[in-house]
Amino acid sequence: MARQATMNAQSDEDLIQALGNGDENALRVLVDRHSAAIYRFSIRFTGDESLAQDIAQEVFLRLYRHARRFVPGTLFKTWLFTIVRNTSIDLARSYTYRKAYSLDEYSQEPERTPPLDADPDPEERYLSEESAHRVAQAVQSLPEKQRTAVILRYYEGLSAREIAGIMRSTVASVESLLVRAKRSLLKLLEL
Amino acid sequence: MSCRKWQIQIYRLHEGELDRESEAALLQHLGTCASCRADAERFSQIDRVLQRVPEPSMPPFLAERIVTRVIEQIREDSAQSTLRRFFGSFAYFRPAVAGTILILGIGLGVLTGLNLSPSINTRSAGSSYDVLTLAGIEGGGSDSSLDFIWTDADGGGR
Ligand SMILES: [Zn+2]
Repeated sequence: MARQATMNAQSDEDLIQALGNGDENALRVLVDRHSAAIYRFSIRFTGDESLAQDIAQEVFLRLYRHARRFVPGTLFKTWLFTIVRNTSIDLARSYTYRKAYSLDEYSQEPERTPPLDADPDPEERYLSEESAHRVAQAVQSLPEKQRTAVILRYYEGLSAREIAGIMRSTVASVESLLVRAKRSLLKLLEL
Repeated sequence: MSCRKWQIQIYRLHEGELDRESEAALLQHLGTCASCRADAERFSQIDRVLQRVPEPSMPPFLAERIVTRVIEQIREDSAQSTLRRFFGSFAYFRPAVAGTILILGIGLGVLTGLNLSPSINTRSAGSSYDVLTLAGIEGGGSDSSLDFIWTDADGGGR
């Protein structure tokens, strides 16, 4: 317990190195710190709870396996979300029950979300739980790159520069992705 | 600049990443272009809509499930690397160990062979002895021991 308390004060970079050496306390602290964000990303990415849980578990297995390859001085968050994104893509592809999402389908025209009842203020239509679900569905129906950029920017609060690092892209490309994503969402949600 | 290009500037304005000069140029364009003004409003709207989606909460069991699975992997890897280290320490002696096992094997085979030979002979001798015993000629061995057969058959002695 005392050892875990000491670990709690350590940086992610130190913890990942300890995890590489099989340190179980380091693992516990990393899970405490990051599992919620990883789960949030994967559920928003796939829309499937069971798949999102598997992704979160697989991410930590990959973190452990690749921990020794972590280069000190690299931004941990960028490294973490690169693994989260790749794992989400891999598992979503390999899952046989591709429900509403399909990575292949994403490259085509996104599915249109049916319009909600007429309302003088279209923004207000999205306040209910059901509407929130439709927004989430619209995000899931975006092409993979747009979806990743939207989730990381608007839900995880990463900067365009950090997202560019994760997607091995440029800041300008990420900005362009986000603008296209917004246009797609406006169309899908009929705002 | 085409109106489509202004959209990136609108995005940057909302992100607070536009320098003063670019911001002034954009605001001037927005003052004259109704289409871009509408885009700017719609972009703000989508930002607000996105923020209103409630944060998904992680199932309470998931953290423990992850920890259990990864610890299982850590321990499995640790056991494997211990075994590898143990056998790895014999790496230099491997040819010698293989040679010793081979010689021991041959030696054991020869010894077993020598041991088996007399026992096979004994068994065959025993079996023939047993046939004679059954025939009731135990202790015999000479032709005379078979005399009784003829004696009985003839109904008298020789
Ligand atoms: Zn314009």
